[in-house]
Amino acid sequence: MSRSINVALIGNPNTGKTSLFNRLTGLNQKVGNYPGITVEKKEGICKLDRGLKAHILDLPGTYSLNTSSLDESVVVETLLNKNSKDFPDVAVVVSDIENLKRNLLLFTQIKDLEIPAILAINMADRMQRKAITLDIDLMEQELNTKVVLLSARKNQGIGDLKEAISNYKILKTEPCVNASVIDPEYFARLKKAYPNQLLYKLWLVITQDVNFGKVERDRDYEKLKTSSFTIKSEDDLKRLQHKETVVRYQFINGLLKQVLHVDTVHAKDLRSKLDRILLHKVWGYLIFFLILLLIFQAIYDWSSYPMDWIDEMFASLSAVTADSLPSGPFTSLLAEGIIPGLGGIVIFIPQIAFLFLFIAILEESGYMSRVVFLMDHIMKKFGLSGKSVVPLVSGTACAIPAVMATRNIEDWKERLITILVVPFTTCSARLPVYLIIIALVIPDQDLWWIFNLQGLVLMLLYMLGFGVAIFSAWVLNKILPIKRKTFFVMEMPAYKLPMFKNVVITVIEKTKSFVLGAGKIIMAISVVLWILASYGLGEQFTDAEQIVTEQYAGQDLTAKMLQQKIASHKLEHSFIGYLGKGIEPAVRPLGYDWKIGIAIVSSFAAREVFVGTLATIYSVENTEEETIKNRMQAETNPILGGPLFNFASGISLLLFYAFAMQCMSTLAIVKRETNSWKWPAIQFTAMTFMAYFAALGAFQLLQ
Amino acid sequence: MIYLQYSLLAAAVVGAIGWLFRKRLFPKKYNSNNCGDGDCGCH
Repeated sequence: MSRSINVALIGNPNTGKTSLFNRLTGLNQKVGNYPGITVEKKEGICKLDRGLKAHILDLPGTYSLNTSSLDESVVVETLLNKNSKDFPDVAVVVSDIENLKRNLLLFTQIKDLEIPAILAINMADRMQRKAITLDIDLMEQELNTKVVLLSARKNQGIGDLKEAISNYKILKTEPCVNASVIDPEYFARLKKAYPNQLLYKLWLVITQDVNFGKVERDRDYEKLKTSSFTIKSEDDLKRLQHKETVVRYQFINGLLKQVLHVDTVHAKDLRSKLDRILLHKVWGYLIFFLILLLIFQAIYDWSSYPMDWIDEMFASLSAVTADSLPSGPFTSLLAEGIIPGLGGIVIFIPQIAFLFLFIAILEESGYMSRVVFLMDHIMKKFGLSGKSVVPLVSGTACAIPAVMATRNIEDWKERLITILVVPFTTCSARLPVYLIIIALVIPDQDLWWIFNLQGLVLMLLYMLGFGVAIFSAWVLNKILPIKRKTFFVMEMPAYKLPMFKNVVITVIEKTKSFVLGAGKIIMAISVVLWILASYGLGEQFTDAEQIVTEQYAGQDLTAKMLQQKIASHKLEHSFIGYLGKGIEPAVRPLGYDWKIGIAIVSSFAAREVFVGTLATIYSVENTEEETIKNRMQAETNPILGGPLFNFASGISLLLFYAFAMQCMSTLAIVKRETNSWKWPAIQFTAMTFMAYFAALGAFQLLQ
Repeated sequence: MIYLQYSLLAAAVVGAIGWLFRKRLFPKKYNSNNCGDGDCGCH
């Protein structure tokens, strides 16, 4: 008569667990669901020696027994519940030869549950190519178990594993790590309260709900909940879990130091060769810099063609709408508010698509993990992640795709800090403002025969943006009361050609997310801003046409110039005009008048609106920089006398725009990415304060 | 015709302001069990 035993196949994702399952069970397998949940349950039968049959259960992939998803919870449920028909007689922990360190974390946890466990090291066929040697005897001794080297793909070592499973009764069940060292006093109390229970099982039962929702388990859990034993607070339990992970990794590091040797210099495979170049302390950074340059070029330069096309298309659409619909306030809203507002959303699509195309390719190819490895130790010092580099650099084109690019930063604190500091980097919308102010207040002369002074100031503004972003990150890291995960496991995936389908799906998803998410907020704010700029109270606004026509009756103005004067007069007496005049007392110490006040208020929609608004206020016929520049140069300061745009007020304005959060689209995307108005509100307030005081300081010192 | 234009304008403005306020005052509730990670920012 044949006997049957339960064998659980457990392992991290991507360790070849399913290949091994297929190799062991062949066609003797069935797939269903775990009762009540939609997690796939794969089981099969494997014939062993001496009439022994193994009922093999392929459990969902998990990185540890500290579960964070329903799939992972199934693994813990199976291992904790001795009464379950699936409770294993022996666990086969499948690991991958190239990621032993991470895989052993799970193995040591299973070993602590005192379940007979075999460590099956898969993909052993790669050892020679990658110049990896492993001292199996010493490993078995240190881990108190049987270690089997195999290759499921090449059908090597499967017989050894079957033999080890057949002999499961001789496996030692002593733990290899003493988890109670993380809080001896607490564990002693736990042992005293439940002397007949396995200590590590109790600990797992207590901590499961900290990571994942309340899932019913066996009676031990119910006992714990209703007993007088005081369970620690969630924060304390999390802290202890982190401590446990550190203790386990200390053990694993010590073990691998003795048993594992990787001769990277003599490894012959392509991955090792590529890694030697891409992770090199000089070439690695240089290659990364060149790739960033390519991404920057794509976002900044290549996307300018479709962006210009979109811009022209929406301008034509506005004109057609205004001409073809009956004139009236709603037609004006459509032609001047809604269609340009829509254009303001659609115009970002090329930049977003290009950025995510590159990010998806970098992620899919396996290069992104190398970037994180390269940059992480530098960025961590400032509270950022290695992955923050891409958002910070792409922020120089536009903060919107940059904020969206933070999604692949796993740690919430690092991601939030990156989102909050990205708008400091000099985006392309600041450029028109910088160019016109620099042209006005910085002399066009050479410095040391090599540098142009204006170019140097522009470069300094870019450096200032980066510097303030990094400094702010450091400050936020100190003051934000969010706990960082202390354990960080990084996988170095193999290099592979990106799958076209995955790349396309990523690009479409990110673009759709922006258009449907932030787009709606931008649209709504556009409508409100248009109303504020198009309507006003009093005769000065309603009779603007008559007032301006009478005022310039004696002058020989063209019809277009007269229309510009009327538009300027209306803007001055619109709600936004009142706002500009209302903030004049606040902006006067910065060296600005009410006209700049209006430009600042209206450029809340987008920074580049500053130049267009000044063009309307100064009634210039076209918005070319040279024309506005001449008009601005002639402007005098009504209080202090002399030119309004002098060195002091110019530097003050440059600093204001360097620091101020003048972009409703970025605020909308921050709201979407943080799922709260709290962070964009904090960001807007803090950046506006910084901008105000930097501008105030500059003007008061320089005037 | 002008009344229709003003009515549509009022509807658009009220709609835009109302939508912005609704987003602020009655945000969607998120189920924390869908996220898994307590630090994911959804809470």
